[in-house]
This record gives sequence, C-alpha cells and structure tokens, in this order.
Amino acid sequence: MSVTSVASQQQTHQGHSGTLDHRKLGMWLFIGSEVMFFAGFIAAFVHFKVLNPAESALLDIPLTTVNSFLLLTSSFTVVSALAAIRERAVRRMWHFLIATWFLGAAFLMGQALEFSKLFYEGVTLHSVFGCTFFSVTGFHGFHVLIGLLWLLLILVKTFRRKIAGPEQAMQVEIFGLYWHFVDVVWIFLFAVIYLIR
Amino acid sequence: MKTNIRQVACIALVALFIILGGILIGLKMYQWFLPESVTVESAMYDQLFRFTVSIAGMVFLLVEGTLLYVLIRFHRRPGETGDGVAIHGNTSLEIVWTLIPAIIVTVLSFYSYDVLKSVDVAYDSAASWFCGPLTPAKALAEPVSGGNLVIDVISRQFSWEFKYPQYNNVSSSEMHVPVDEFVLLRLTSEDVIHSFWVPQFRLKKDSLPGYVNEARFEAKNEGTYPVICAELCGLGHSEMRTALIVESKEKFDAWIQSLVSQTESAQTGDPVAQGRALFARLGCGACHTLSDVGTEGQLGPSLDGFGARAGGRIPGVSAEDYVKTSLRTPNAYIVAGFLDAMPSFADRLDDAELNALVQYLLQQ
Amino acid sequence: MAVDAATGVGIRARRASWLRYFSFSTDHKVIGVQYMAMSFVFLLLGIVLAMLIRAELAAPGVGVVNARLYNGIVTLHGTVMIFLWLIPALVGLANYIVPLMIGAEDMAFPRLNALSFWLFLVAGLLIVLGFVFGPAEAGWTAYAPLSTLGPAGQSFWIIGLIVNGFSSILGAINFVTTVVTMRAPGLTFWKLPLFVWSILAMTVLIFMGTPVLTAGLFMQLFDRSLGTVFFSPSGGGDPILWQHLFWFYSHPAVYIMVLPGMGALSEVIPVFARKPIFGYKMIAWSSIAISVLGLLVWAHHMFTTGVAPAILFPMMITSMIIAVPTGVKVFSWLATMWGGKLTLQTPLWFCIGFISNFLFAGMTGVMQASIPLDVHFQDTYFLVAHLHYALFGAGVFGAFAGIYYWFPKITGRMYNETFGRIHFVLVFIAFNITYMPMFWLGVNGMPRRVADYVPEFATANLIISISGFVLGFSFLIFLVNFFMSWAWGPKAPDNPWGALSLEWTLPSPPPQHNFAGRKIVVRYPYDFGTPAPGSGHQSSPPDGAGG
Repeated sequence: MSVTSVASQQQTHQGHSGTLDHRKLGMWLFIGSEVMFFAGFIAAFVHFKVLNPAESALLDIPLTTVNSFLLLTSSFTVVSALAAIRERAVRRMWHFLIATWFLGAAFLMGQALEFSKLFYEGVTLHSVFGCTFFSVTGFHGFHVLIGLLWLLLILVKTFRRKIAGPEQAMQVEIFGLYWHFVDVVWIFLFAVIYLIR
Repeated sequence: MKTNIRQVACIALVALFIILGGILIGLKMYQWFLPESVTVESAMYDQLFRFTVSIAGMVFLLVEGTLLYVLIRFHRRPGETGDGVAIHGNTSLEIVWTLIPAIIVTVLSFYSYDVLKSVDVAYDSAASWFCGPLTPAKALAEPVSGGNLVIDVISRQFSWEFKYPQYNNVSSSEMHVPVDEFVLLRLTSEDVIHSFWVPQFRLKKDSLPGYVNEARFEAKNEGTYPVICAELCGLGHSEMRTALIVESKEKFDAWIQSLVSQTESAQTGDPVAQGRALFARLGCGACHTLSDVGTEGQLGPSLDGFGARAGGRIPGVSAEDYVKTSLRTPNAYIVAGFLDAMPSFADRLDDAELNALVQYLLQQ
Repeated sequence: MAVDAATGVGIRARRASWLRYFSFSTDHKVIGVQYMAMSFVFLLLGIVLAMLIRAELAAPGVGVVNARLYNGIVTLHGTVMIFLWLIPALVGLANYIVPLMIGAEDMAFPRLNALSFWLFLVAGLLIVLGFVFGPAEAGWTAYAPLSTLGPAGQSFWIIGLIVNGFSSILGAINFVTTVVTMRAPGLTFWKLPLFVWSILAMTVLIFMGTPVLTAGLFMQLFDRSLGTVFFSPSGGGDPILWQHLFWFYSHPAVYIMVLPGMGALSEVIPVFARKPIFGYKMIAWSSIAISVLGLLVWAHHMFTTGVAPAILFPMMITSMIIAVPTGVKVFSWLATMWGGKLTLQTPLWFCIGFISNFLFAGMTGVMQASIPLDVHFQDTYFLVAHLHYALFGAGVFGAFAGIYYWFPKITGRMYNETFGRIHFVLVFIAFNITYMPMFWLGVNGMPRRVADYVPEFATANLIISISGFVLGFSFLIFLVNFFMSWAWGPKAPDNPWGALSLEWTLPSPPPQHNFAGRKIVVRYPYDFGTPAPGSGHQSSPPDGAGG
C-alpha cells in the first residue's frame, strides 16, 4: 500500500531529483521570467516598427556588429572559464573571467556610443521608435551591468579564497547561465532591431 | 436484467428532465431577462442568447441537482462509521464528461461565428479579418459606402457628438436614425477610450483615440434608446449618456433638414441662437443643468441664472472674460464643491463660436 | 522553565513565539503566516472600500463621495482585493503547506522566500499610500490614456505593482524549484497531493505572465514621467498595446486566484467523503491544461476594441475550450462525493459553496467567451457579477475551505465549528443575493465603474447594497472565530481529519525543522475507502500505489 523511506538527516538543499541542482533550476526559471519581460518590450518595438520604420535608417550597423561580436566572445570566455575551474585550473579561470569582464564592459561602452550618436541625430524618447529602442536596449544594458557587478563579486570571492572546488564551479556555472541568457537576448535584439527590415 | 432497465429508465428520465428544464430556462431568460430587442442584429443576438442559456440551464440543473442529491443521499448518518467505496476513477465516464463539454463549446463556437459574420462589419470579409480598427486618415479616405447612412461618432470627456458627413457634416449631441435602414457608425475619440453602447441594440464598440472603429445596425422599432458610455473615462463617466432616436424616414428627413438650415443660418444669424445650438451640439448638458435647453447634468454647477453671477464671481474679471477663460482653461475658476472634471474647449471652438456661446450663456 | 513534552521547546519561548511573526524569518511556516496575516489586513481595507462603493450605489445620484474619490475607491478596491488580498493569502497558505506536503525541510530558497514577503509588504504600502497623493482612478485595469494622464497616485500604484511583481516572480521561482527538486525520496509526481499540482500550475502562470505586466507598467511609468509615447496616440503610440500587455498577465491572474482553491477542494473533499479522489490524473492534467490555455485567451477582454478578428477569434475558441478542463474538475469532485460518507463540516461546506458558485462563474464565462454575446456583457454589471462569482464565489470560498481545513495544523488549535457554519451560511446567502441581481442589471443597461444610475435600477441596487453590507460583516464572524480559537480554542491533535497527506503526520503546529529526525512514509494521499465488493468500476490509483 505504501512506499516507506527514511528522511535523510542530510536533507539539505541539494534536492532529491537526481542531478538537477536547485540553484540551476532556479536560475533557469529566472531566465524564463526575464525572457517574458524582454518579450513585452520586444513586442512593443516590433508593433511600432511595423508601423514606423523611418528612423531605423539612423542605426549604426557596423558599430553594433562589432559590439555584438564582443558580447558573443565574452560568452565563449565564460564557457572556457567554467571548463578551467572544472579542471581545477584557477589561474586559467581568472584569466577567462577577467577577459569576460572586459569584453562585457567594452560592449557597454559601445552601446553608450551608439546611444549618444542617436541622441545627437535627434532620436529622443518622444518618438515611438526612440522610446521602444531605448527602453529595450537600455534594459538589456542594465542586465549586462548587473552581470558585470556579479562577475566582480565572483572574482573577488575566488581571488580571496583561492580554491576551485565544485561549489565554486557551480557558482561560475550559474553566472554563466545568466551571462549566456544576456547574450542570447542581445542576438535576438540585434536581429530584430538592426537586421530585419 | 430488470435492474439494468430500471437504471437506464432512471437515467433517461433524469436526462429528459435536464434537457427540457434547460430549454425552459433558456426561454424564460430570453423573455424577461433581456431588454427590448430593436434591431435586426439584436434579434440574432437574442436567438444565440436563448440557445446558450438553454445549454447553461441544462448544465445548471445537472450540476446543482447532483450536488443536492449527493448532499442528501450520501451524508454521514449519526453513528455511521467507515469509509466510502474505494473507487479511483472510471475511464469511460471521464471520457464522456470531457467529450460532451468539448462538443458543446464547438457547437457554440460555430453558432457564434455565424452570428458574428452578420452583425459585425469586421468579420464580413476575409480581408478585414487582419485589419484592426482603421486609422483616421484611412477611414476618412474611404468613400462613404453606397446608400447607407453614415454617422461619425466622436466621443470626448464627457459627451457624444454625432456628425452626418452626408448632410454637410451637421452635428448633434443626440443621434437620430431612420427606421428600417442600415446605418454605419464610424467611432473615434478625442481624448481617452470611451465605449458606445446601446443595450436595446446589443451593440457596443469602443471609441479609441487615434483609431476609427466601425459598427452597423438596422433598427426595426421606433423609439428613444439610451446611448451609454461603457468604458471608464474619468470623473464624468456615469454622466456620459445621450439618446438615440429611431424614427420614421419622414421625421428623420425633417429633423436633419432643420439641423442643416439651423447650421446655415447660424453662420449669419443671431449669436444667441447660435450659442444655444452650440450648447446642445457640444453636449454641455451632460454636466450642466440649464432649464433653457432642458438639461439636468449634475457633475458641474448649474448654469441657471449664470448671466447674473458671472460678472461678480472673480473680482477684477469681467463676465465675458470669465466665460471665455472657463471654456479655454476650465480649471482656472473651479466653483467650490465641484471637481476639475471639465475638458477644455479651446480647440473645438473658433472665435465666432466662442463669442456666440458667451452671448448665449450671459443671457441665462 | 517548563518544557513541552511533544516538541521539546521551552514554554516561555513558545509564548513569545508570536513575536517571530514580526521578524525577518526564513522559516516558510513563519513567512506563510506573515503573508496570510498581512493579506487579511488588506482584505479588511478592501471590504471597507467595497462598502463605500455600495453605500454610494445604494441610491441613485452621486451623494456619499465625490466622483474623483469614487473612481479612486473603485480602483483601489480591485487592486487591493487582487494583488494584496487573494494572491498573497494563497501564496501564504501554499508557503506553509507545500513544503510539508512534499516532506521538505523548507522552501528551496528560504532567504528569497523572506525577501518575497517583505517586497510584498512594501508594495502594498506604496499602493495604498498613493491614494493620498491624488488616487489612481483608472480602474485596476489602468487603461491608457486615462491612466497616463491621471494624478500622482497613479505613479505610486504603478511602482507598487512593479515591486509586487518582483515579489511574485521570485516566489513563483521558489515554489517550482521546491516542488521539482525537494520532494521526499519516493514521492513521485503521481503521488503528489493535488494541492501541490495546483500550486505548480499557478506559479508557472505567475512567472510567465507577471514579467509582461511589469514591462507594460514600466512603459506607463515612462509615459508619465519621461515623456515617452508608448500609449499616447498623439505621439504615435497605441493605447491597445497596453491592453495586450496588461491582459497577457491579468487573465492568467484569475487562474492564479482560482487554482489553489481548486487544489484545496481536491484535498478536502476526499477527506470529508472518506473516498479516494475520482480521476486523480485527469485532475492533475486539467490543472496544467488550465495553466497553458490560460496564457492563450487574453484578448477575450478586448472583444469590443475593434482589434483584428484574426487575433480575437482564436481567443474566443481557446476561451471556450478552457471550459473543458475546468468542467472535468467539477465533475470529478461530484463523483468523489458520490458514494462517499460526507461529514458536513465547515471545510466541506465551503467546497460545496465553491462548486455552486463556480457553476455560475463558469456558465457566464462560456457565455462571455462568445464574441457576439460578450459585446453586450463587456464592461457592464454582468461582468462585475461574473468576476465576483469567479474570484470571490470560487476563489475566496476555495481559500476559506483551505484555511479552515489547515487551521488546526497551522495554529495547533481547533476552530469553532458552529461559528464556521454560521460564517458559511451567512456568506453564501449574502454572496448570492449581492451578486446574482447584477447579471440582470448589466444586461439591462448598467455599465461598470459608475457612481450613478437610472432610477429604474434603484430597487435592485438597494437590495445589493444591503446584502453587500451583510456580506462585509460576515467576515467579522470569521475573524472572531479565528482569533478566539487561536488564543483559546481546544488543542488540535496531529491529524484531526484523518487525512493521509504528509503534513498530517507532524504535530500541530509542526516543529521548526519539519521532518528532521522523523521517518517520512510516502503514500498515495487519497487511499481512503473500503474496496467495492465483487465486480465494479474499481480502477486503481495512479502509479499502482494502492494495494
């Protein structure tokens, strides 16, 4: 009639569903909700772009392509960092994480450049193109910024403790998930805003 | 064998009761629950309503009946111990009570689509399926459709204006239509979202700023019916009502002709008369009581005896300036006890009209 | 210092334990009570606002409050009841019960759990505070452009809801992670109590839908404060965009409010009928179906806007289809009770009330799903009646079924059954007298959100107002019962109802670390009933858990 089992005294927050760590699941779910958040803004952008394509001629595609490449590379460096820490190669992990940080920061600077160029050319918040463009790319940039701050925290923590165990690997992996999400959102935004006419 | 027949007979009787009961409920609701049905479209609506409520009635009898039966038959008697029977499910039964509702909603969907095609212009043709409300430019560029009466409905906080583009664009704050004729409405708003609702027509369509929506009807019964705003539009939402009068073709022609000649003569004639016509057309009575035109609005102060008061209201401001400012920037001089609910008429009145209105109001 | 034999906790510590509820605790049981207690405070506010509305509508003419205050009251009433009463109360109940039901020590992210509660509190304060600065007066639906033009309180309302959104989303992530990763060994999905399934379905809707509303809210905020033109026609914006973004969340919101009550019914009915739940798998799947379909129906709130039929018509179909899984649940509950031995006590009474009220909500829901029919009902008192039948008649009744059912477990005391029955009778009768006439009012010409109406509607409105006041006061009976029982009620045993789910294997109330140091015996939670003699339709429980 029933299955008997003993509660494990060590029932900590490792979870019991096999290999799925609860923090990873939590991050995936968080990413899911963030995707919906961006979906709202992207829907607004597409809605108005369909009706008002004029100002998109002012977008600087070459600059943003380089920018996108930087962000894509930073995803690659995160993956390398994770591989490094899984092999307990702490130094190598630091190098890749620091590279990630600088690539991300460079992306943000590139965005700031694009924003100021557009402002200079008269694209403001008071047009539908302006407000949808700046809000969606602005929120994306904000997410990149949060990622950079988080990465700083990770760098500080691992630098201090100088260990590279499974716990640290998990932290880097979870950060990696977030960072990849930020990257994928950018790819999508880049396609929708800059490439599709 | 015998028990089986009895069981089947029982179920059949109950089913019959439910079906007949449901149909009866549908008929009764159709009779006394709904307001008068005045148009071709409302008649179709009522048929669909009757059908749907009949089905709802059957579901109601089935579920409430079962609930009552269960409460009476299966409640635990005093002293009774033990559990109920360990039944975990019954696949056939579960399939049945999934399929039957699915069939019901499928039937309702088809029937609804059928009615929709006949009552709403947007569902008429394949092309219009992918268009939303039309933009103002597009709508105005469309030729006025062959033969039918077209009325432009302009909604503002908190009044309705009905314009007749086929009759020199004359406008009124009450809608008149001839009986037995198709009428096409083009609805838009100048500020927030409103909604044009005539219960007796079973007609409701939002009027949106920046868009033109279309609706149509053909009225069969003469009479006066309320036009009610059905979308929260601000402080005067409760007061935003006017009348829709369905009358014979002759009466309608007479009315519209008098409106046309009134508007023409108003260009050259007596400003006071022009002012009175403006007051009526702009729907000021929705918020202001004024015996001269017979309105009873409560949202704003009464305008009876206004002429005597206007000069002394604000020291240093003449009666004429007081009226002009109140029309252009209404929140400048709010009367104590009233809210800042009045919209500005600065863009809606040219200088001549402003003057006429001033002249008229100062005579009250 | 005396020591309690059962829990080993010092008695002095236990007296002061109520102070825990005012602190920053990461214990899901404390957080659950905090959520529920705060939600009841907001409920009282919502009831006062409702009584003001009914006082105004008791007679024609605008008399009791002025039009601005009235629109503000209407707006705050809806906002408070949805975001600050019903959803947090259900989240609180789930917070307390779900970890216990799955044999977990706490939620997956206890600190995040606490953060969710305190964010909710801040959000609630912001929303209510906004009333003082010129109330938000565009209805809880805040349609643009009316909302973007409104007074300063509207911005408080927007920010409060954004903060509340963060609270909800973080909470939802917590629940899903907890249910997926922290079930006791051997507790498969097909042995989960149906309440847990319903919470799973509810929280999926929360983290899929809320972020879209949050995006829209930011846009409104930007329109109001930064001069953007998302929803402003004069700037090229589109007010309909707001409606899409708003309803993408707010339709699922109604399922968020109803699913947990449905879950509670699936718990209470088998226990009080001493019979297994009928059709466990179908009920579980129906919760998922409602969740998925619930995300695909939002435009049925926009049938009169003139939006393209290509968008509206499919959503008519999905809105009709969603009646099927909800019907499956109702029929399953009736089949559970059929052939059972019903103990007619307060939790079961609220289940019965739920079924009766939900019937009206569902039938009028299908009527409104039909576009041509809805054209007449939209934005009238018919809709007000429908929504109250769904959210109050079903949602709140379901919540009460759960609250009364789990009251002994949470407080360690038994509530007073007589008061409970009086509460039920009063609220059920007053509820139906209050809301049934509104169907007629709506169809005959009374729009919603009005402070005034034509004299023909005076009698009906007076009856509704009187009954509404009785309805408001009926909550006092619950509150009296609640407080007196918690303070002086008889001690509750571990399992007063003879139920089979895991939370009833613990003392009432459970010790701080739930199951630590105890054996968790996982079993199918609806294994009631004596086997049927001889042949018959006896299918076994899912997963072969029986026998």
